[in-house]
Amino acid sequence: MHLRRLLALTTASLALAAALAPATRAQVPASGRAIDERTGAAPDLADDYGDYDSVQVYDPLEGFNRAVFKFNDVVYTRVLRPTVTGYEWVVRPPVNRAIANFYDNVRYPVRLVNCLLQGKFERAGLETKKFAVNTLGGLGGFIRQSDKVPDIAKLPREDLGQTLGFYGVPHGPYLVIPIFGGFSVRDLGGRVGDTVVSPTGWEYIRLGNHEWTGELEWEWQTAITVTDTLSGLPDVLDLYTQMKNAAVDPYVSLRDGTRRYRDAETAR
Amino acid sequence: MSLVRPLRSALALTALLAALALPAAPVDEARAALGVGIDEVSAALRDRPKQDDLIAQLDTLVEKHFAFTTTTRLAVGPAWRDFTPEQRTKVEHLFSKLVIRTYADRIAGDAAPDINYGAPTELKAGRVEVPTVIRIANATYSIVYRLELESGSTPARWRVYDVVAEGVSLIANYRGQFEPILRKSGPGGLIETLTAKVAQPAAR
Repeated sequence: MHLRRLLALTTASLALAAALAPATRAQVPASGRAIDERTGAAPDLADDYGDYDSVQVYDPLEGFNRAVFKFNDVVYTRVLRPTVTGYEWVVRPPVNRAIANFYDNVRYPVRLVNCLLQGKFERAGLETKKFAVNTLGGLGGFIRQSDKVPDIAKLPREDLGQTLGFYGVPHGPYLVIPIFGGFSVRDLGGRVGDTVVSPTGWEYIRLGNHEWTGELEWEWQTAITVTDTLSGLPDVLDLYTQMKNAAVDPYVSLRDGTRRYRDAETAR
Repeated sequence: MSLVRPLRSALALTALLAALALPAAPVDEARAALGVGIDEVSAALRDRPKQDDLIAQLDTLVEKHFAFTTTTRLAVGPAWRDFTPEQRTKVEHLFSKLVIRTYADRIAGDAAPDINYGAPTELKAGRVEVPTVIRIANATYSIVYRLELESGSTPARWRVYDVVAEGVSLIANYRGQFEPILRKSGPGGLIETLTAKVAQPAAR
């Protein structure tokens, strides 16, 4: 029941992404002037500008997105930052690292399923090896022992958004949603879809426990989601602050940066 | 018998001399230059200087190991042709200040990173890319450095002009931010925006 609803939701968002995919934009031709009489600058004969270009993110809702981005910034700096500071005072960073490792290890089914969906069988095997090493050798996943094993130290993490990209599903419009931040419609659909197989996903906990152990108490579900989110938050907020400090336009920097990051991830 | 041995050693010596006389491949030169640069920055950090001292030290190191004029020019893009020499100097100065400040914030207080160098590749004549995998504390990052041969330099001088962290190029990310500003308000507008950004204190 829940599964079907989630799948329907994912499919619907994907269809939307495909429908709203942008037409390829025309590139602005570079001005080919070699000598500049107006500025008196030395002739610029460099022809390497084409080595780089800005990534074209289809962003038809930019006005709305920027407003939500502004709202999120206030939430991150005024609400989440103090929360994380308080959390880190109680849960010291090494302990938090163990908790984050645990949740990351537990999300193994998400990575496995998406390796298999993309036909990356060798990597699926390595993911399984990593899960075994960390679960058996790392006290149930709290210690990331796999860092010491060369072939599984840095496995690219697969997820449904990447699987969809692998099969050529376009990103669709960029969307900033309250608190969670910016996604392409494709990656957002992937996120939602991944909760079906993620043991930390709410729906799965309900599904998984419905038949054999009875429904999990809502307090437990909340506790799992909250600790899962909090354990990852210090790193995410640090990254956000760094990015904001470096950027002249944080909205564009984050939008384009995450797009390049996602595309690089998908290509691996 | 008595003749063979000296002949053989003479041959070996010739081979050795030939190997030494061969110029190093550009990729190896660039890779070596990057190693020196990273080691010098790491050494500066190891003393845990105060933030202002660190920024001053990084200023000198960036001057030495970074081709920041190329970084700025490529970040600005073809619009660079519309900049006067004074505007170019000004933008480069402000931009380097912003990047150094961000970098100093990011790495100060981190444990010494553990760096693995991959095989360098030549992008085009005088441009080499060196992939690295860097481990800091609990996290592993893939960072690609792009280096440029300073034209006419003897001995060959290789300097970093771009850093690509997890697929995100420094130059490309700034190009995307600069483009709308330049389109709207030209070189003057970009200088204004950068001046305001550098004057604004970094958020914690």
